[in-house]
Amino acid sequence: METWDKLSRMPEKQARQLQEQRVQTFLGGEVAARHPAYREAWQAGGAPRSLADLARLPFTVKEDLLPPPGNPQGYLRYVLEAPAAAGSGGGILGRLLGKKTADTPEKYATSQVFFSAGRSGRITPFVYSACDVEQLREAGLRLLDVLGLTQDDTAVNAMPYLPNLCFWQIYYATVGIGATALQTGGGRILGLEKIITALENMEATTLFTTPGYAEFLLYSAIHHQVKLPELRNIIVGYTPAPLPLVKRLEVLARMVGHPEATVRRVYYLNEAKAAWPECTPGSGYHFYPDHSLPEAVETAAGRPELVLTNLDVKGSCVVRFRTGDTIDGITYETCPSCKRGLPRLTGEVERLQDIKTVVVNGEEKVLNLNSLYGLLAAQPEVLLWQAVVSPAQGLGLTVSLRNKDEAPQVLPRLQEMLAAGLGVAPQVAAASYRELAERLGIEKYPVEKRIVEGNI
Amino acid sequence: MENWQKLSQTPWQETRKMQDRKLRSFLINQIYPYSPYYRRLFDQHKLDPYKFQGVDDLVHIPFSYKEDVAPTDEQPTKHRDFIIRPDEEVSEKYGHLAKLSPYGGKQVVAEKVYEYKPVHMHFTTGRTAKSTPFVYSQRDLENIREGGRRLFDVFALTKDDVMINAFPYAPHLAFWQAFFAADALGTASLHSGGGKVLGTQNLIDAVEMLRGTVLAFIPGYAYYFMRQAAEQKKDYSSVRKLLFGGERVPPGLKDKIRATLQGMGATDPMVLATYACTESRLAWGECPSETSFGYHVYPDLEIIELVDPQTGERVAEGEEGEIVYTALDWRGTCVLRYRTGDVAKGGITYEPCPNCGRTVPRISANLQRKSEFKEFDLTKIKGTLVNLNNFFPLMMGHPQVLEWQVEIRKRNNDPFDLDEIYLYLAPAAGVNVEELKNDLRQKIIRDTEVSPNDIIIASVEQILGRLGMETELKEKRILDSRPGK
Repeated sequence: METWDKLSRMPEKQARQLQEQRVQTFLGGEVAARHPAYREAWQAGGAPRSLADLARLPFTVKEDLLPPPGNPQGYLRYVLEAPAAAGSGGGILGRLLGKKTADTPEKYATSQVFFSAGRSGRITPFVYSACDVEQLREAGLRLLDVLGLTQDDTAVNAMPYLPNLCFWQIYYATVGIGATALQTGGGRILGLEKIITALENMEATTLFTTPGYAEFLLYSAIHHQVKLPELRNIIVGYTPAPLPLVKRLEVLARMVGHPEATVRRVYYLNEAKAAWPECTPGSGYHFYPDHSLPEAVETAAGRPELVLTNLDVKGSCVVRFRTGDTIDGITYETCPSCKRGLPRLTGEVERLQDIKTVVVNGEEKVLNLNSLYGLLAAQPEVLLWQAVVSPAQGLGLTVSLRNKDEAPQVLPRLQEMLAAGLGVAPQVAAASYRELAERLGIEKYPVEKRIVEGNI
Repeated sequence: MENWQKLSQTPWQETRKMQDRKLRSFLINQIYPYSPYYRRLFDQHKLDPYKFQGVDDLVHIPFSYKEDVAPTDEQPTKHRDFIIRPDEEVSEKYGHLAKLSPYGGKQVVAEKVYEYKPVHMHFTTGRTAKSTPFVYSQRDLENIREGGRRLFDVFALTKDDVMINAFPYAPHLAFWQAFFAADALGTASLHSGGGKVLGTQNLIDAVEMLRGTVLAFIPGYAYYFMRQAAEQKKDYSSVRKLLFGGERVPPGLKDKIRATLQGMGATDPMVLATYACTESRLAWGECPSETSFGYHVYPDLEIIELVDPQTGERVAEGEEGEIVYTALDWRGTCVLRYRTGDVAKGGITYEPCPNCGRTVPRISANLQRKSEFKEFDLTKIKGTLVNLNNFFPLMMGHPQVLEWQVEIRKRNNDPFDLDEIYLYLAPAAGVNVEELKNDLRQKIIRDTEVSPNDIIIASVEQILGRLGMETELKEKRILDSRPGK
């Protein structure tokens, strides 16, 4: 990785040149030689030597990374092979001097195996090498720098524990910078009461968690009249957090925590091997051009899909990997907010899997359920919600209201608002906060079940 | 920290001298000036840290107990008094030094921050008192990493091993010790978070997929896991060692696990155990052997005494006693003469290990929790003491038992009535249930001196549900359903 100071001030042209160069050396050299799947795939057409070459390559999809039936070690096809030890000495002179070059086999040694979040329903190992873990530490320091956090912050990491990027990025970031931190593993592991007590006793300034859990925690703190006056940074990610939800969380955070508390977002993508933060909400997720090459590729869904190419990894490595997340686009312009020269993903990150087709009145309708997060966050009467999609029955929505006596007025209004926003009028019903929290599995699953398939 | 290879070959008398030196320095330079609790304790008992000559003088320091450290509703931050924290000293003394330092003030302050600032913490499980945080500075993280490196050295693991860490994720020592050990040695690892996080099926697949050579498990979950994997005829031929942690290891369980692993293709798998408590801040292990030669401890990082649980007097080498832990050369949360509540039946020995030759002290692997002697009103004469520990080796090691749970209830659910003990049991297929019940009744009376009110036969699934095998951090083997318990 480049030095952070240099990278964050890099002009657009230079950033693109850097990526062009990495495509040539990393993809054209290392990946072409040491990656079993791409080596084979590129045998006929040759390895990419430029961004233009890369754009012509076929996509990699999640299913490609899954071990084929009967071959549990099949995932190794996407893992870079270590160079032979004999070739690692940097030539005769290097070997004589005992010098180690960048390609020492130790750097390729597996450090941790992460598993994808399981959207595919099957575990997919993604290997982080010793080198990747080192870079994860560096990415953690970059993340904290963009978020404006320092060693003096006291953090509670309430990202759900899973062997994946979201928990471990925050661990490596906090321990790397030397901040006092508690790695809770999230509500499912430690439970709400203990997390709130930890925030209180540690006088924590910073909470890392998912947007849904942040909301649940802040509501609970308000309900139990807990004050966390030092809490000034709430950093959310892993599930969608559109701007209206950020705004809503900020209002809650200021009621519970510091009067100037802010909420910021981080985008976690296991395959990127680094998390990408926003300096301010809406500024776009700042990514590292020395490490990743994202592309925005047109889809039938109307919004471009984020496609990822690793530019500097060992272990598992993907080229033109379809993430299943959509964005508005990618900009290389200097960030107007923090003035860093880092390129950014723009627009809300949405999931293609939350675009569903339902039959309403005998007619097929495509619903973008991602918009529910923003539409409902803007409704102050709604405390919790869960959507149930039935291909045959349409859409059902259960909400927990701030004042249940207002249900007769609020529910029809919500139905109308959602009909305008989604193009389909859902069936809207009310449930108690406790019942809906239970149904969402807020402390039962790694992340709550907001959108489920089933009978309405 | 000493060089481990050298330390583990140093004659015990020399090591003891090293401990004497380190203890003197630790008390004078860290504990007395910077630990609020112990400074008060020393002052109250008129103990002069400069008069301590070594380990023999430790007996002058009163014991510390869980209740001294654990927070209470009245004193929610009591544990902080056990943290070595020269807060004012750092700003006053080193702030001044920083200005004078030819190397630059930042460097001096950074060194002190590295040494003292808490960056990581583990919690006690909170079964017998409120959950208590034990904090680590960056310097302490080096200690736990070194502890992990030593642990893996004792287990004879190498960086070529592939570890599946199946300890349940929690800010607890077991999971994190496995993580720091693998990280320090450079062993490829999956830190799964256990069945509750990853799901047992995913974990079963992961062992085969990653060709795991070392599996780290909580004992009770391991047997359930292995049975499931064996039913699916998984290829576990890569597995060489299974490491237990988090709770006691009944001897019979090792045999059952070993046999199950062999059935899945593993050649001569070894089942080894660790011992640790949150307060010790790292774990110790037994060297690979069919017979346990005890947990090899690290005499440069702690002092272990064994005392008579009743009188508190030190016991002789090899005699049964309660393990008392004293931190040596740590920062963060440090306890001195901490009564662990664990009784080592075979005591502690300072003889070189007959198996591996290391000269470090060894704690007998035959451990028992003192606190698990529970008081029962089994007869009209109240207060019968029952050692619930004894259910574990009996039930875990019984070849005809698949799963079990002991439930303690009150007759008629009346808090003033007699206590009742029920044993839920899932027998192995094809077993004569009546014969098994009779066999168990006899053995339970022999081992615990009580007879269960009933032995209830249930399916494996029913008992797994009762145990919370997939939902709880640790399965509930002994369920105390008495009102108010």
